[in-house]
Amino acid sequence: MKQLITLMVNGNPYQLAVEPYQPLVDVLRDDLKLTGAKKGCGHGHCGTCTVLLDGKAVNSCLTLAVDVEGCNITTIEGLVTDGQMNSLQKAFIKEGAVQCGFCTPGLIMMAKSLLDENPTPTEQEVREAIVGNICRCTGYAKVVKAILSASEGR
Amino acid sequence: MEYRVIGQSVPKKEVGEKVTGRQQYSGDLIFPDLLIGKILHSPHPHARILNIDASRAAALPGVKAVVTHQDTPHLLTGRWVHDRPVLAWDRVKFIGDPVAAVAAVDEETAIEAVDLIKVEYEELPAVFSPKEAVLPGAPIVHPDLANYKCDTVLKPQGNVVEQGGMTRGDVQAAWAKCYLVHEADYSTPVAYQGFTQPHETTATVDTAGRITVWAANKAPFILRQMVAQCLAIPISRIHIAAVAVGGDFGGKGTAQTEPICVLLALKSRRPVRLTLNREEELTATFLKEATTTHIKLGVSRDGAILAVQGHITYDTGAYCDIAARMGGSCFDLHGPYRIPNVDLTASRVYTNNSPRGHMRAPPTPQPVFAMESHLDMVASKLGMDPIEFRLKNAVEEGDILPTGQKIMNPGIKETLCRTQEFLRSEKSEPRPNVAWGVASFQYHGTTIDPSGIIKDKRMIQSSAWVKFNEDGSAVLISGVTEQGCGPLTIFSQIVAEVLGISYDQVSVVSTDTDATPFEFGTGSSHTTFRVGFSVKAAAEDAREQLLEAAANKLGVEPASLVVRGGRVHLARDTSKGLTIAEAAAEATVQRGSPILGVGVGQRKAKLIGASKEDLLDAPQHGTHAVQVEVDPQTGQVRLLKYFACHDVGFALNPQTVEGQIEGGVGFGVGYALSEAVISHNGKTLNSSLTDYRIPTSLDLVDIKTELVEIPSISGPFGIKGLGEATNVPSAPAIANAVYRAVGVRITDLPLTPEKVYLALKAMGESKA
Repeated sequence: MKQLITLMVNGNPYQLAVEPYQPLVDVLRDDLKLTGAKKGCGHGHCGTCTVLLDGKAVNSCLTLAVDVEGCNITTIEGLVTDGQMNSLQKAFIKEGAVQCGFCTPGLIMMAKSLLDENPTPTEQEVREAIVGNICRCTGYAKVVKAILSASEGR
Repeated sequence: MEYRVIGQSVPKKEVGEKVTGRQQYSGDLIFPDLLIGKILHSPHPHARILNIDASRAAALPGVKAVVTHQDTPHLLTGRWVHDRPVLAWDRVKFIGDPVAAVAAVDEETAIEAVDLIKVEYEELPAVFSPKEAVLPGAPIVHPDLANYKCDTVLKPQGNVVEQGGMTRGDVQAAWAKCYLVHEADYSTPVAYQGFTQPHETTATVDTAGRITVWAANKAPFILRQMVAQCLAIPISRIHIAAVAVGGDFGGKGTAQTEPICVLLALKSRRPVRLTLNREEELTATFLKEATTTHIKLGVSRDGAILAVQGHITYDTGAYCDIAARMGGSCFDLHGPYRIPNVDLTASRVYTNNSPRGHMRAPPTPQPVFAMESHLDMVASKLGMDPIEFRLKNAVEEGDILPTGQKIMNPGIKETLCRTQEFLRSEKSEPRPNVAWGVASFQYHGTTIDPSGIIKDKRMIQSSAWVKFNEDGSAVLISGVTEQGCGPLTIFSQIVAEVLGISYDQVSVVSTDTDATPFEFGTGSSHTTFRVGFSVKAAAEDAREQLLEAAANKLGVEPASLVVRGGRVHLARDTSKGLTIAEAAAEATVQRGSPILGVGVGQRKAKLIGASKEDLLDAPQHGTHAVQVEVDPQTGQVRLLKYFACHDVGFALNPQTVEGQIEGGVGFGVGYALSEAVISHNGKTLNSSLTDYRIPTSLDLVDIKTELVEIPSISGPFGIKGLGEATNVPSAPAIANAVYRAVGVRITDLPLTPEKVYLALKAMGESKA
């Protein structure tokens, strides 16, 4: 039986009827058409669906939509403000940290969660933070550089 | 030569869309009446289908289509050998073989419907290893193989789908002259491409019956051809549309689930999306082949390789999506060395394991792991430095290879010397259980037809179009698909360079089979090499036309004009000229049509049937060095430092080149240390991304890349191929480092802690 909930996503309230078993990623993608969060595995193994829940990174495939009513949800679409990209997005471009791009939104959200908590992480701390985000294209080298450069540039 | 745009690390064309989440992949496309597809797979490795009853599935509310073989024309298909059905009609040949599919209003209903399809099977004897598959009396996976349609010339025998070889001199006579002969066996596992975007396809059918497909696929024209062929639909009714592809690594260059998705869309007359979950990815798609290799290699006292004999066997599973590479396999097993006596053979064998296809530099990581491990052992037995040993034997300019062709511009020695310099700069106090290992490679990627048996010559050709807009900007029109490695960015740089305009003034139309010229697909490390050539030619053609139009307007000869600083002007008088925009607009007025430059390119190097007039002028060579630390208590291998040196000819976009190398290293490290699809009697045992371990950020270290630029003759601007082989030397380099760190030689990938630990234990026991 569907339940009526209100989700706060990127600062906007959305009233939705969702099944109690629906993961947040499906609600974001299918109901709200916010397809920036990708569904790489649906089991919390790849990190492509990472979004922020009250500022903390979560796998939106392992988060039930009905459980996050009242939370502030931020997706990759919420990082651009007044047409300006976030410093992480700019750094990913500058450092060449993007290849196929499928893991990119999840990685950027995970990195944002890290930098919001720890604005000057070490390389090891960056590597630890993104350990749940699989990237098959880059070997993480330029991803780590991009996150470090965004942290310095804040 | 001074360049304005090429050689610069410009940002990728589509990168802004990707970092903002706006880039659309097949699964992101929105259709109001979209159905979700789901496949029913075979639970048996080999069985006869007696009956399929889909009536209960069809009757389930919300189900809009159920398809079985009865909805197909019973035609086999394949990338090379046409050996597989879209949906099985007589026998299933592996656990995961598609048998039926449904389309329903949501995923839950589709899953429920698939469970309601009842299939009666009669199980048949099955075979799970090439060794057993070639024995007399073994179950034959494809009894009618000799009559299969095939895009290459194969001479199949029983379960052996193809064989290849490379010989020179007299190996038997050479053994007696050797100071040392070393013989060993190596094996490698099944591996998964591991792209983050799974296979996903969206298909629609319009009211006139025309089909549009948005696929996670990097070879749109091959896909169109295969869908048309296996469903007996004319090509005119199929449109493969452009959509981003989230990684490929060889796994997205053939028709896999796309024809099934099209069948569901045709039957339901609604848009259908078919996405594989990771269990399906790891059991029912075309993965990298497991191999076994035997090598016997002899050297003189001073370390010259005198003879090599070897055989490599590939297990291609139930269907073979890769073929015509056995010559390439032997070429790469031989490696970038001078060897006077050679006897190398390779074979590919069917079993009832899950099917195999392409994965980054197929089929090369397997033989190179074997040979580079072997060379390291020989160097060690000789007491020679592994780099000195390779340098002593490395090919040089003008050498004639066992294939008969002459090698030009080889980079192997330079990559070895740079690695040697790097290691000297890294010299430090020896530490227990810590050591460096090195490995080199040669890859046949940019050659045509490595086994001399490809029938479809479009494989080696390429064409591109460049259109001038009336404001002097340009559009590149290419059938190449961007799957992440940056070809469209690099092509745009080439167009901008040739036309004398800025990178930002070039936009791209790609992939779309209605809008772009035929292209074989992004891959084989020759996209920039082959297509870059046709793109350059198309831009040059457009520039010629621009000069002609400007010359008409100015009343001068085209040859007296140059393009410089955004203008077309007289070479001897810069004041007499037009802006590029004025010239482009003028051309449109004069001709009644905008300028359209057409370029054609073709790969030239061949391996089989070559002579010394056939140059191998863009050989792909490189050397990696890796420092590891082995924990003797657990067998855990930890990377400390990584150095990767590749000869790229010329780096058109250095940042992209580095990115390819770093990504390739990450790929190779996974193959070396953690990745293996494990199966028992055809059943995959680790079909998730936690049980199949792709490297994480903590498994890898910062990678120091170094580029050697020895230009080729035939590549555009002197480039050589790069993308795939960047992953090739990692596994042997790591195995060699482990040997030098703790003295155990692991010959079976991956180097899991368990294997290293047991080998250390065995070594300890044998010493005690």
